[in-house]
Amino acid sequence: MRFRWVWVATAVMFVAVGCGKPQYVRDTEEPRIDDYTMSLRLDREDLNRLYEENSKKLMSAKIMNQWSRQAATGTPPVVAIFPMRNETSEHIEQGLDALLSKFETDLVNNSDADVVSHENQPDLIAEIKAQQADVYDPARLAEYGRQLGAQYFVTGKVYDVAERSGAEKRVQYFMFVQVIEVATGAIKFQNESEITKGLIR
Amino acid sequence: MTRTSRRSVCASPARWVFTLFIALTVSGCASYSTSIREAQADLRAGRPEVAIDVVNDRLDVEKRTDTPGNLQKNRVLLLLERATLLQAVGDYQLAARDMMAVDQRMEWLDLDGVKSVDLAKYLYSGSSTPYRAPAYERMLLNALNMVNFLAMGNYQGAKVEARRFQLLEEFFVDSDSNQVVLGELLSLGNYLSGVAFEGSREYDLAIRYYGRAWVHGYRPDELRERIVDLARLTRWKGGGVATPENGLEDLLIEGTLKGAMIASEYRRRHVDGSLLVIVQTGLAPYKVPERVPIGLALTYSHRHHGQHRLSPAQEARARELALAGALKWVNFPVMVDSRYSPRSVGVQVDGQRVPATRVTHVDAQVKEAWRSVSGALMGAAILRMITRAVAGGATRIGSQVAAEANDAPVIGVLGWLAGLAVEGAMAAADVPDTRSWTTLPANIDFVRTKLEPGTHTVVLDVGGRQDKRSVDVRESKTTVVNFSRLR
Repeated sequence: MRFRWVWVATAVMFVAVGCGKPQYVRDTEEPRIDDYTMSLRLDREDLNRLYEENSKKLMSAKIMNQWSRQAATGTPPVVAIFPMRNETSEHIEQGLDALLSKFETDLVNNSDADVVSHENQPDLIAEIKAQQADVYDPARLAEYGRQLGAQYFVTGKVYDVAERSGAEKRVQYFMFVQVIEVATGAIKFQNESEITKGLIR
Repeated sequence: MTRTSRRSVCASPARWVFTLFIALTVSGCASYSTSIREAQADLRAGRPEVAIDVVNDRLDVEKRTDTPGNLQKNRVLLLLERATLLQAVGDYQLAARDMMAVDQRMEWLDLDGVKSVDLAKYLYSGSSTPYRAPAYERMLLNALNMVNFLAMGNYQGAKVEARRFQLLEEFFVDSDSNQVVLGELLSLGNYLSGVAFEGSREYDLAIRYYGRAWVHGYRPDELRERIVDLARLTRWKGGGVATPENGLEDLLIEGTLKGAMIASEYRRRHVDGSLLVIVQTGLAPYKVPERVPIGLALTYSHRHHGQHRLSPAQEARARELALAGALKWVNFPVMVDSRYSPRSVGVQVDGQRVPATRVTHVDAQVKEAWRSVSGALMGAAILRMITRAVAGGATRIGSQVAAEANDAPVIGVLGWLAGLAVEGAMAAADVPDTRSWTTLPANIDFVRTKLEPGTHTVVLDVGGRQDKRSVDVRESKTTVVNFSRLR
């Protein structure tokens, strides 16, 4: 027939449009879904990497031996996680909370410390997070320790160097994971790790 | 076919029917500004909740807690409009959520290195392409999201937005790009950043941000005193920012001469019991499609002196086509005032009137930014119209030649219709992009004062309508209250 090519082209167009529409998938349907980098924030892949790097160092640090010796006397040290400071240009607070929870799991399962949960102190934790209250302020450290019932805090801070060039952006994260002794404010453990995310064309 | 016969073809009913069809096609394509008008009217009438429902409908979602399944075409901009409305009703958490989603996706308009034909595509692609925001909208996004976090007392989130604002300032302003960002907007973002870092007790950074707010023109007495005392506390010398010309250097010297101050004293004077009231009123200008006569269009294009300026040959071609009647007007987005500005704005705290200071004329920013790019866009639009007129004319001439060679007048008629079809199809495609952030306020004012800890009443009066709030002022922090419901 005449203008057959028009009908074919139209059909191809509709098929193409149908194929290009976004759709929801689960990891069992699309195994590669976790391979994609979808933002400049920290995703599960990034958090796993940061966790692996820091957990190895933490669990083999001198402080762990110290806690083991203290636990052997019958009075294990009391440890709590303390919200990390986000000093970056990305909203990564939820990722940092997830990372700290992974450390908490490790401490519960693989250390001799008593890990206290601060779930019964939601208002205090919300206040600390909102004001990004300074765990490194000696005047406040003792108060936080008393309120949370902890002798040590597992915490940290994250900085970034973010740069933009045209439509491209790069964020270089520097993370410091620390264990701080509440009574003295001394840093008993510290490890640095890095990760870079970028939006490139 | 003789010239007389040709003129009779021109006057045929077919041409008028076709012209009418084209006119209906063009007018039937609703511009963005038309689609958002209902929400604007509701906001103007002090009904932001109703406006949220209107925008939710455009986003194909039912509730404000829902996020759209995709953010293609206009949806990024519509989500931003919803975020502004959520802020107006005091739902700062959801407003921040929406603004963060927009922040991840919003692209901006960059004229550098873009060909005129691509510029015209941007101008006329409308909702079929992602929205590209001007620089000031990108920066206002972070500044107004800072308002969300500060109103929630979330300094961590506010500081993230402050850093993002600073990155954009470095990119758009400090790197000398061609983007127009007025000093007042920079004062707004830097002042709010100062509040965020001051609230987190990071005084070394607070003074830098407050100092930049001063440098860019926001200079109320309270900021002057704040900077002097921060200079006493931090000993900051103003590296790279303070000069005698901008007056910041004098404030830092005054601080040095007064002697050191300890942090607790600074907090007692400036932070404890501090209240910051942010007042957003009026509505920013927005774009509407208009047919601009070609003569005026050429004048607009002269505003631009860069790569998109029409060459003398192109301009001469446009004038030739105008004289021949083949190029009459250009469909173009024109910036218009919202024609809504409150007669009076006043703030009372516990029954006492307190002076508000204008920090940003957003409407002036919008107009100046548009003025700076409209010349280049008009040049690209005229080139596009020249192409259209030439294509339509070539079709008519070709068919005329064929008609005379074959002694078949019907070929001439069909040729005229085909020529009109070419022009008509391109005219129908020339629906100018009128998208912009229409729920932005026209003006932003600050009130900064200190109160005794406890509950206080803050009343905003906008043209006789009142918005009254009960505010808990705490002893050891700055309380931030935002008013943007009444415009």
